[in-house]
Amino acid sequence: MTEKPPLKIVKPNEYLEKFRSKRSHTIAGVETLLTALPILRISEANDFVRLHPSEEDYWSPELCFVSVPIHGEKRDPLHLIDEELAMQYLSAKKIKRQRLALASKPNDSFFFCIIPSQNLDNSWNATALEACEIAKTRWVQVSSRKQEGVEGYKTDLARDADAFPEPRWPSRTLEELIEVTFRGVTIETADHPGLLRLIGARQNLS
Amino acid sequence: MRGPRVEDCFHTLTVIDFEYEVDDGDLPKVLCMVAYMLDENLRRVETIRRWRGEFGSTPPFDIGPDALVVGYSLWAELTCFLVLGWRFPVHVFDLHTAFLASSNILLPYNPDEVRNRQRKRLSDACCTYGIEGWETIDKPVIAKAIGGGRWRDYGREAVLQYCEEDVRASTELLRRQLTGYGRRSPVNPELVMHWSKYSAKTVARIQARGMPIDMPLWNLVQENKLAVIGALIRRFDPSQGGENPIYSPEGEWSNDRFARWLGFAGIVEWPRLDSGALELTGDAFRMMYGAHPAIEGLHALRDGLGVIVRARIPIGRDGRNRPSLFPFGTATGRNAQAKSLFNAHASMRSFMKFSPDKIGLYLDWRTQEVGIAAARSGDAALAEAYQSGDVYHALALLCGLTDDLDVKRWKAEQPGQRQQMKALQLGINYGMGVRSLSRGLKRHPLIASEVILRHQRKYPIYWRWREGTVERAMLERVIVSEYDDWPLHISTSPNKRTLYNFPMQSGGAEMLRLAANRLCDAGLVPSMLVHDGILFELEAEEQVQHTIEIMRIAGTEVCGGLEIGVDTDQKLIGGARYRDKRPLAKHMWEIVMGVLREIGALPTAAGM
Repeated sequence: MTEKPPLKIVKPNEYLEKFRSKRSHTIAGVETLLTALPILRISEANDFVRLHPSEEDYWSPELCFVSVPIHGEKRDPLHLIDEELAMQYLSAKKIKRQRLALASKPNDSFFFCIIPSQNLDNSWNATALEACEIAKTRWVQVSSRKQEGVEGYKTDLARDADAFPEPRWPSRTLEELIEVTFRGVTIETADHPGLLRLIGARQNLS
Repeated sequence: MRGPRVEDCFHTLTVIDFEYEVDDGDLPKVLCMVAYMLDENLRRVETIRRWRGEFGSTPPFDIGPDALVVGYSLWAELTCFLVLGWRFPVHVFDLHTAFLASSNILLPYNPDEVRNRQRKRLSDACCTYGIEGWETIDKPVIAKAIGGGRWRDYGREAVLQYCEEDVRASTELLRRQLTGYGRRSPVNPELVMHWSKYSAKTVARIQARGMPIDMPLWNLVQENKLAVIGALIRRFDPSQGGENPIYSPEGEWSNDRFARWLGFAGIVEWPRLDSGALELTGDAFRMMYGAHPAIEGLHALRDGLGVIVRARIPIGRDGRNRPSLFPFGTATGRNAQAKSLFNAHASMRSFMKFSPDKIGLYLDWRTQEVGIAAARSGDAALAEAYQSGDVYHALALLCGLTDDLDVKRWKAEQPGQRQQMKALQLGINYGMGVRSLSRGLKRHPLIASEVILRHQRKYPIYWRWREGTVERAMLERVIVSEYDDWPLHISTSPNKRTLYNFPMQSGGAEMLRLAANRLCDAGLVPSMLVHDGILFELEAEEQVQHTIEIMRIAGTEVCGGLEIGVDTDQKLIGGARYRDKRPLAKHMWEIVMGVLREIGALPTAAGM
């Protein structure tokens, strides 16, 4: 068994600071958000994947998210939320704490890959995290082993390391990419429509 | 039950075709005509051939109430009638219109598939109906030669033979359209004749009339094209001065550079087609006006610059823009007109200038599609909102964007909000989703979702009708316009949004057709038909009220009694220039005039 690479602590920055998770909570499922960059678990990519090799620059710290149900939308869009607000208004199990890393499928099809940061002794999280580490340098395809009766993910390497061109990573900073991805779906005030929906308050249309 | 056969109803059936020379925008110079006279069994009993100089003052066949005149794209033949000074036949049957109706099919929704638009020329129709022909003739080459005046390369007999080949094929096409062919059902002759009145007679009259262009000014702009283009892109292309300007100095747009500029400007949510490509339609631009202050101007530039850069609008030697209307050219039965000033940004309409002894008049139906939706659905609440004077105000109230109950004040003080509501209302009609609505409102998707829910609660009958219409269409595999039965046949898995929108669009098309027919019958031939508006060049003040009344009655009739208001958008007297009222259009035109003054092409004091 290969030794798990140590998780590095990513340096904080101003914009992300208020969304950073500072407390430990149980991890929950994450929905895909359709905005500037899609947000997927590594196993949801259904293709070979690379993650940005610079964890320092393109892997976020642990952040707080909530899923908000919207009538007429197929999936509940993920919102970034200020942890103080989340703690004040929402139950702990509503709040998802995870990291995001810039990732790419072949031919620069970029997305945000969800990096587990809680419950790392859970085999699903542990195997996903392992795959994410490998994907920093190799093309990997990750699939569930549930049908084999195994709790965890299988990581397949691309047969040829150069089967796909190296990603041409965007020059924008992680902070910028997160900002645009979550533009309009970032809960920073108590009257945000997303938070009002989660606490069952009337929407203010004016 | 099917009515009597068409051949039983008329004593004479004449299938005709003309050949003519024509320059872009000009009326045709008739060269020859061939006509087959048919008996009641559609058998040829006589052939009439006429060459230039042999035409006379009346057609050499019956055009009275017992006669039917048949042709393919018959508007072209009837334009030759106009040029020759012939009266129009009472009854006409356009084989092209019949073919459009039978081949109007909504294909399965697949945004990733690149589809070539099916061509609908006579040869295409004949191919569909298993008719062979033109084996000994290079049809496209000779057609181009005749149109361009080089028919002498072939000689008179070859041209007549070519013309007769079209008549022979048209005759066979008529037989097969009436009896059905293979899986194609027989056409309904009564309906085809009804549609043909518009697509042949009315369209021929309108196209022949055309719009008056200020030729000295048009030529001045063309002579100073680069300076005008430069001034416009400097003002409206926000990427100018950067490394990758969207527009080249010659005024050519680049998709790649536009995508780069979007990134540079931080606009990350530009609407995309399902294929992933950036959507560059007018609706996409309008949706994004709020994302960056330069988008609206860039959209105007994109729409307007082509007129000046490519100068492809057909203008005849008499200074009239005569675009093709392409009747029934869209799936909903609306015209598919192209190459007119109305296909460009509104600012460019200022190239239109009416003679001092005429009245230029542009009328449009008030919020036509919403009125049709209210009438067709029978939703009294929607009809009430429509009749309240400004349905967009009702929507703005519903969205919580205003609490001003004074419609007039709101309209005057919130033009931007009104434009936004206009796009939203149309979006709701065709089933716009939460995400797009949210972008249009520039609000959170939850607010957009709430707006849709409120709309559903306020107009439940409309929403039920909309669903029912689509359900019925899916079951019957066809949807038809309510007033005059224009059909859209449905394949498997069509785009439901097209079906949602069909009743409103096809209803609008019916309204325009009915009004245009009646206007022509009354001798008030329009200069142009534009979606929900009509442009006129009238002789006298009393004609103004007459045109308004004809349009109002047509609207009310198509909407089963619900009155569709008619607004006067432009009334131009004393040689006035067409001036669109929107500030951006005015501004853009001022820039064009400004640069002409600056370079000395126009006198400094010239007021244009």
